[in-house]
Amino acid sequence: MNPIKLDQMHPAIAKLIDNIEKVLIGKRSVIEMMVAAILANGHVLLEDVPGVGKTMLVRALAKSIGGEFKRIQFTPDLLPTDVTGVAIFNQQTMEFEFRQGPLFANVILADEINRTSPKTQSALLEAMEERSVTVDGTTYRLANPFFVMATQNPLEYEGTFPLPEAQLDRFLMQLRLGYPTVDEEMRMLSRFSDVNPLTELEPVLSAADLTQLQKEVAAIKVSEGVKEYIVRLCHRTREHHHIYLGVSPRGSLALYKAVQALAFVRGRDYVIPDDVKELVPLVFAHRMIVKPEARLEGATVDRVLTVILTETRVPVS
Amino acid sequence: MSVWKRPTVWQWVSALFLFLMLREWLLPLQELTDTGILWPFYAIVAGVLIIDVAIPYRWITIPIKMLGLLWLLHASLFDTPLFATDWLAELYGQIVHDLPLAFQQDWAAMSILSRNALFDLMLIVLITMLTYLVLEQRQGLWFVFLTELYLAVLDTFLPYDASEGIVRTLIFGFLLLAVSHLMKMTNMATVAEKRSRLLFGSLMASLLIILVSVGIGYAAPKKAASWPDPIAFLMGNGNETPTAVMKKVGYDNNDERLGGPFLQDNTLVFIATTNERSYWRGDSKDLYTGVGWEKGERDYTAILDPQNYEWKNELFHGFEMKKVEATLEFKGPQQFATVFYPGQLNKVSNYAPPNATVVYDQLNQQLEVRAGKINLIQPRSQNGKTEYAPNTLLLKLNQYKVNAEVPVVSEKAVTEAGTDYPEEIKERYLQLPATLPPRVKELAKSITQNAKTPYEKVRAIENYLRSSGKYKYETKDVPVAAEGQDFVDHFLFDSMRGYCDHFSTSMAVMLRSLDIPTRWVKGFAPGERVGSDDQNRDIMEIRNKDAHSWVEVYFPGHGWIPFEATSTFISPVRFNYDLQTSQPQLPIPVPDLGNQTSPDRGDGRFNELEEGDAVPGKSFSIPWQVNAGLVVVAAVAGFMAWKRRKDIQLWWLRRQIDQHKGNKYQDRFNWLLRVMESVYSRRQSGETLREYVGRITIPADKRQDLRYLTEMYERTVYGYKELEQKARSVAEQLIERLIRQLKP
Repeated sequence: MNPIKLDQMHPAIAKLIDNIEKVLIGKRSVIEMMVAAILANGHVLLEDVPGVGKTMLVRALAKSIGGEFKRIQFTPDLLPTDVTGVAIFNQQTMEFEFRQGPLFANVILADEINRTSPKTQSALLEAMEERSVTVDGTTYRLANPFFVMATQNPLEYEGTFPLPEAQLDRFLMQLRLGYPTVDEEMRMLSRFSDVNPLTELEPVLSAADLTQLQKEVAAIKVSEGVKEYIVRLCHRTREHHHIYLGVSPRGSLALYKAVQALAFVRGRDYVIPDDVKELVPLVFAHRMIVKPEARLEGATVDRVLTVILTETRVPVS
Repeated sequence: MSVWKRPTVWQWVSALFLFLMLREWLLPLQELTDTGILWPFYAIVAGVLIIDVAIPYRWITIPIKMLGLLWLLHASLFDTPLFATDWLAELYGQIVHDLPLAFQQDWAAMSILSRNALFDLMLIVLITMLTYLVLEQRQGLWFVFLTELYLAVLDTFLPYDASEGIVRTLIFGFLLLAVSHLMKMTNMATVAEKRSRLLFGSLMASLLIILVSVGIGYAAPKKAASWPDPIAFLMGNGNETPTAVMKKVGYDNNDERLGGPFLQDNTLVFIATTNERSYWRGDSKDLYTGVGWEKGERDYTAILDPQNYEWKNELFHGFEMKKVEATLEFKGPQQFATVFYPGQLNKVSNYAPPNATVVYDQLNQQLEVRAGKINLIQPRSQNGKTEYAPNTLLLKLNQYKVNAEVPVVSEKAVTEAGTDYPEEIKERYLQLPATLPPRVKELAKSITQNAKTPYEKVRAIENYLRSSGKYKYETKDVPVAAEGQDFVDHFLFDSMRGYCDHFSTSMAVMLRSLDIPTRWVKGFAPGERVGSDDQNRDIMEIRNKDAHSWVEVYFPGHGWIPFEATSTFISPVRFNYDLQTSQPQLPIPVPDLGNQTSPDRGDGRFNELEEGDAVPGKSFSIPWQVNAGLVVVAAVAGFMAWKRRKDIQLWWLRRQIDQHKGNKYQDRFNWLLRVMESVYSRRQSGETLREYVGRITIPADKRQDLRYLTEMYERTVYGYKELEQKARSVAEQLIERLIRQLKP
């Protein structure tokens, strides 16, 4: 009887998500978030153990948008030029010739990013922020769309270089895949038994489509109340007595873009506070540091954020 | 409630404190109302508390309480054996008979039995609710507050001294709160093994705090009250004389200064068993000073063996007499050294304590009882104040029996008595102060211009004061004569309102101005008949409010005959209208007492006001049962409203929603949200609308509707969109449906 259908997902987005879900079972919300991150033109940091399907997720995404996929396995001896590319002297033309590194692709999986030296890390992260690479004084623009999904190991391994806070800030969201449930894992086994579904995946969006969608996302309406809510949440993280480093203005901008994208994914052209609440842990968590003494008392970023979310007044009118 | 749990010591302790608090509510009843004994009420309070604490199944407690009520009624009102049916039958009959009267609020017509039964029942219900609220719901603070308020109001506006009660209430109330709060806290905490130690320690701490604060409050220097007498201030009496001080009604010996407002006092003085309704004469006074009455010369004899002494015709003689035998028992807080007797006294006997000497004032026929067998030492008089020798200790009797006789006054005899007064009578009882304004005598003359004999004059003046309509019976708004103004003159010509002292003094003084010997008598009015004994004698209750004054007029050859000047009292003196005359009888004015035909009602100064005399809003004459009933009704109504507050809120919100039909969708939705919040739980401020809709416990179809409405609302609020006509009408339908179906 309802005359208007509410919250109807954008058809292209629905197709994209369905497509990826063929490969990665039971992770719809993570997929949605990742799609939202792409639509907001941001990058994603995945903190998870190996083998839960990170590569699969990214490759499925790359295939679905018909883009090029590259994977960089970060090791302690990886050099910045191994990532960005290098100028090689061509003896035939007697000129330096630029050999593109793995960054020159649409979807990049930067695996175990905290295993490499800070020098290499920053080369990647600068490229992510500026969407261009400068080698020997020449600036090369990266592909569009350009989406980086980096993973870092949550376990404290030997020989890791933790990412500095300023670098972490470059990621729009931090996601967690987590293990599938028993049921999901069984479904996965049966699907992968005969043929790898990834090879059958067809592109559902073109790069141009994605750029168009990104433009539409930027036009999603955010009411004054919701804007204020975002800023207030941001301020609360800075004022909270357990927090050593709160969320920067870049963080509030990131949240703003992310909620627009999520609203779009959910099929609305306006943002509701639920979008904000859903995204705050994903967008804010990796940008905050809990005070060491508070950590001893058991405070974690997630707990602090839960408290902040329950205490901050939601704009309802 | 379904699990039997043995009540803890602390539950008993809080019940004890609640009992002590409730006792503070009951204590003033004895002093302010005609409630004689309090133990049945204490029994009710204690019984209900014990039953409610000990038995957690409420449906069992109801019959137990009812049985307890029956037992109590039997114990306090019946002498028959408990296991007999006759008293039950009587109780049932009385209640069935009196129930309609209760609805007509005719409390006075109800029997004591059913009055008691109904009041006790109300008390039980009230205490049960209080126990539930204070002990189970632990909402004791408002009760402590109400108790303090109640005592403060009583202390301020009624002659009840609640200062100790206020302190006691503070202590008990805060201990009660402390115990119940600690119980609540320890129930929540997981310190089961240490609970009682923790409780005890915390209780000691709060006790210490209370004691210290009360102690400081008690010891600290305090300013005198800046508003010592709020009543006089509120009544605006201050403008006539600043010394108008409220007196409490009652019998006392000092009449040197009459007048001024006074307050009702229902305290029981004595219970009399008598075969004749009559004045209870105490004393008379002969010297009018212009402001009050004093005793002039005295002539005392000591009667060492009063048991065997007989008086004869001390007041009057020459009439047909009726023998009266009366037993007086002083059950109230006051006793008197003066013996009160009907008519004229023959004999005093059966008195207790027994070692008494009677000092008899032969001039005023007053009996004063002294302790021990003493020889009378003549009182020394100094400035009109009598001083007694130290060994003449006044003895207050608890009970005694009087044999007396009342006259059947023959009108013929008193009319023909003439004016041949003995010299000593003329000397003593025609005295008037030189300052008496002549207009008093002129008024007396004009009233009596058609009267020939002294008796006719007496009747004319009595009639004038009682029935002319010029003088109003009034106890509270009673102006006081200015300094130097004659008391009678002020009443007759200026204020024209007052009570028995005004009427009787005026009558005595006016008659004296006409050379008729009179004196001023004081004692008690006949009182209220409460029943009869096995010899069919009346049992009368005489209360402080029955304290009265009247006039005795001397007739040569017959003696002193009492007359009643006050309009609201009926004289109990019997007259034989044997005068053969064509002239119509001078009527004995009987005030209209409505449909009250039986004369055995109390002639209190207050509760027999004529309709016209009653001052609306100022009258204190509402029976206490009505007040208690109103309090109970208000408490029940308040309790019901509190229990049903969600219904009331929902009703109000529904009305609001209906009134805001034409408003914007946002407004409608906000009202809907308020309804939801009142029916279910409130939305937390950090909760989004969707989270709220998802959280509340609500049937799935309603949640669906609500979700839809919420999304529409989000569109308008976050998406800045107007709802289309169709969407709006669908939304309206959904809102209507939701609201009609909601139940708290």
